[in-house]
Amino acid sequence: MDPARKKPTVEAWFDEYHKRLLGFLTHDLNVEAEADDLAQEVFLRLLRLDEPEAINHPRAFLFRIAANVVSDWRDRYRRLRIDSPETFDQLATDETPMKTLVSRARAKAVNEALKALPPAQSAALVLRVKHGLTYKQVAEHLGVTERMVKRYVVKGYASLREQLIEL
Amino acid sequence: MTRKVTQRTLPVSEQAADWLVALDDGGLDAAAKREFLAWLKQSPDHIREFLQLSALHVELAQNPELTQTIDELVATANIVKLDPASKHNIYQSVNIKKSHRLWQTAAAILLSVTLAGGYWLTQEVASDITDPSSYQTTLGEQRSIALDDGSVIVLNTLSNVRVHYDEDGRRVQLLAGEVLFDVAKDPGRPFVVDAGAMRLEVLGTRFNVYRQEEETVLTVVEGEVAVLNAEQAGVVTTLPESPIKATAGQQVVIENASGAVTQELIPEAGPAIAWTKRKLVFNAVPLIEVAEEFNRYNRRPLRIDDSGLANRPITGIFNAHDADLLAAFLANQPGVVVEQRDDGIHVLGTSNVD
Repeated sequence: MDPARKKPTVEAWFDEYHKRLLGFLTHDLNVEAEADDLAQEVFLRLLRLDEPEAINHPRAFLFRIAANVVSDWRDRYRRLRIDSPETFDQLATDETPMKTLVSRARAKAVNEALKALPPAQSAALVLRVKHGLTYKQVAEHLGVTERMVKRYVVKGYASLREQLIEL
Repeated sequence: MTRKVTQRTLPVSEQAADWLVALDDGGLDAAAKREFLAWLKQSPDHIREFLQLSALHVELAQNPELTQTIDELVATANIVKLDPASKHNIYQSVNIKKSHRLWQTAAAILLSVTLAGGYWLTQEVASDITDPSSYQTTLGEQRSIALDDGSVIVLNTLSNVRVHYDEDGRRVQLLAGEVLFDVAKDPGRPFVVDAGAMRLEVLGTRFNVYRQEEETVLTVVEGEVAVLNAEQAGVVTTLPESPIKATAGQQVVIENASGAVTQELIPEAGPAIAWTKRKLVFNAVPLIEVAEEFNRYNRRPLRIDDSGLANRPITGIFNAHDADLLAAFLANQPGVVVEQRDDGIHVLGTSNVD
């Protein structure tokens, strides 16, 4: 077992590409249609691949494609707006890394949605994701099997997504 | 990734969460990686959901609003345990109470009333029941049994039940398989079902119980069912807050080994009891589970030879015994080849056929 995997650091999960993408997903993405467009474009690029089976890290790979799409969009956006004076400021701030990925309002909304989950699901989810316990450790704390913990986490994620879908 | 609870809708949000948890749990082997990519390439919806879920994961991990400590979280988790291992001991303790205290105080006489059910169960644990009726079904067989009180139980394939009725109660033990219960009302005689880690108590209602190797699934079609553990079962009237109440449209899943319980609302109970009409209803159920479900009814098993196809979601209503119809349906799916061989119906990906 890779010990790094047990750490809760988001950095262990997402490299620079992912941060940019997640910034897009959590900040800039207000319209559902943009998420559709992004997914559609990533989908097309995935289909064009010759040997996707050879990919070693499919998730990182997916994020890289998605982040590339977002970058392409930003480039296009800048070219279109380059005559406006504010654009130069934007260009400058655009390149600085995101200080906080999660806005206050969104954090509150996520927290409210968590409270609406069955307590076992939200406890398992927060213990795993926020506190960074392994599934095994969560299982020991809650006195259930690892399989059950995973079920709680899957259910918890799915209902959070359904609750937050319109945000 | 294989889910044991079939005939259940699998929303995209849940499929994506399944993948996120699998990836989070120490990486994927080569076959699983191919499956994950195949899943992504099935639809832009899958990609969007997975990306959004990953963003949500970060939002949770970095959320400053989440201030509860580990101990606080564990305390609030409120996990109900139905512990099958303690069953026998609890019955014994009921016996001890009965012999040592029951005769001594007037208050204990009241207790004897509440424990009557427990005592009778003790008798059965000691295999001392009078005339138990046993009913079984073989592979592909279904059977309806009308009981004395007007209740009807329907046994699905490969099931085994024992029925025991007397003046004080009605009791059914589900030893294996799946049964739909249609229970006639009789307030004087509670109807008790024992299924692995799960004990159910009802007055009159309609519900389905599916006892599987790893978990037992209750689906309530009408009315209300009380779900108890062995400890609560003997003294249910004195512990009104303890049993889980499951009402129509709810599904309760108990993991047999740990006794851990999940309770959830399902969109409709219909698919869970479609088997009584010999129909299998699938709503975006992975092909591997479709095969498992189908193989509960048929001697010629459906075999999924291509692991890349195992997670392909299947939606449709099939006759449980019509293998040819299902084979024809699958053969029409893109990228799928179906071959009839001596040992069953083989489902292959086009890449496996040269």
